[in-house]
Amino acid sequence: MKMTRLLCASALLLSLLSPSVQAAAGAIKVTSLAETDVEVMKAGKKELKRLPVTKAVPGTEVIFTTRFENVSDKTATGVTINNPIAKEMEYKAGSAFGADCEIVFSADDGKTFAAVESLKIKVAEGERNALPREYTNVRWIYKGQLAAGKASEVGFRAVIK
Amino acid sequence: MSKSLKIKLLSRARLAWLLAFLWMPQASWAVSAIAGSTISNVATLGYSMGVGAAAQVQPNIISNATSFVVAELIDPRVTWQDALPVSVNTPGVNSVLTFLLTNAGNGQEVFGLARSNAPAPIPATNFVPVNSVLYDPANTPTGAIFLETNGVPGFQPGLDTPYTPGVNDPNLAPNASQIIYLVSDTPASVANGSKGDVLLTASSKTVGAAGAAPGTALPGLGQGGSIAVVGKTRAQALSTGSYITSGLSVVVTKTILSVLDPSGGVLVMPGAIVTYQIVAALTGAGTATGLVINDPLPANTTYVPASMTLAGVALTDVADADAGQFIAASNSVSVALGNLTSTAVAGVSAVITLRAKIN
Repeated sequence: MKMTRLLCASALLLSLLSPSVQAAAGAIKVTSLAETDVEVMKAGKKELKRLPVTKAVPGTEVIFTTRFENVSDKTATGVTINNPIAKEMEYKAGSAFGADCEIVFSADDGKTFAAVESLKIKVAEGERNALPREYTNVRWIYKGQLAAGKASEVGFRAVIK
Repeated sequence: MSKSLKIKLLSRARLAWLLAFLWMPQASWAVSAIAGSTISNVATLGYSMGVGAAAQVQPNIISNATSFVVAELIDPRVTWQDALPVSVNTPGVNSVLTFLLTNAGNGQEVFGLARSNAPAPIPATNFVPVNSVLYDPANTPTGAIFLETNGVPGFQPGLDTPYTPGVNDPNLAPNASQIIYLVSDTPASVANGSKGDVLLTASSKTVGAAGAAPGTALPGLGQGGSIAVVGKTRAQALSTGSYITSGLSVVVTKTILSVLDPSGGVLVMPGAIVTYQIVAALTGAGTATGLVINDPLPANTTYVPASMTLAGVALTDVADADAGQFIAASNSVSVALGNLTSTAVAGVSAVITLRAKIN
């Protein structure tokens, strides 16, 4: 009984002493966007305009973007962003983008990740390279430091099946 | 992991595999994002606060969720299924053209059907098919159309269902298909080799869809209240099938190819071997089915065993897998040519040879 009380008390004390945990929720602002490039006429010329997805028919290419901004006053490191690819979507080969990022993929719902050239999938005969349409998740490993106030964005394109 | 849990997981995995197999799209243009379904996306960000040894791992941050509803693409396809124009007699009745309607969109969709006999512009040499008088004496655009119903390939009168607009319009799930038959008559006195076209149109019954420009959005009219979007077929698929009047005829000619007498000469005398050639020539367009050539040997001749050939290939004398046989009872040879298809331009022929000895 005494031991339990002591543990509870120390846990409470620890939580009070670590303000970074409390501040975490607001330290980095993360915003997701799903958009499409739509052809619009501007001054008699066709022009691509990026707009939120509306007419999402099969075959539509959707651009998923994740924006992140360090809104704290400290430098953040070891930033990784994970984004699952919906079952109804097919990853567009070579479309993942993100400055200063190592980009890896998963073909097993995020259990394992690897770069495009070494991402394998298990088949009856052993394993083979996973095809872009078999990708289930994208992960960006931000190589730099995210200084206070700094923002960046990563993303990928996928086509509605 | 307990044994029972393992077994449960295994059976679940098997079930999942089975379901995945059952749902595997069969059509080549398969889509899997069903109209009306919502696609959501949430990103997760992990990070540490601080640099180097002082860095402290922080709890993950979850982004807002983006989501959008999959719109319904209305995209019917119709393809004429007969490999070649269907041969008809002149006059002819109840000739069948076969079409396949497929819902290549991603939502359940109802389609209205209509036929147009000899759609404009009509090529100068074409004839105008009419709806089968037996099934549609009024010759209406929606008449003499049948829906494959009994699962047996080909049109079976009384078993495949007549199409009635607004009553049994094909209502197809994504990737589902319906076989459609158009039954027509051919007027009298049409020149041999003339073509007659019939156009089948399948139009989406979604209000405002059929004929609209590709990309037209119809808010709320898609499956599950989603936006319906007109596909590249303008929600109205068309396909033309053709008939051809057939002057198909078979002419069989028998000639003596060579004679070899016992002394090595060419005299027709007892003991001489006569080589006969039979040519079955088809002219005009069409297919002669189950064609059999029977040739009784002339009196006072005896068939030379194993002397029969078809297109230069030896045939055995017994009734077996090959086309030929010698029938001793009637002293004749019989060659089953099966189905021979001839085109109006080229025609087709089969060449048989056999030898007989003069008694």
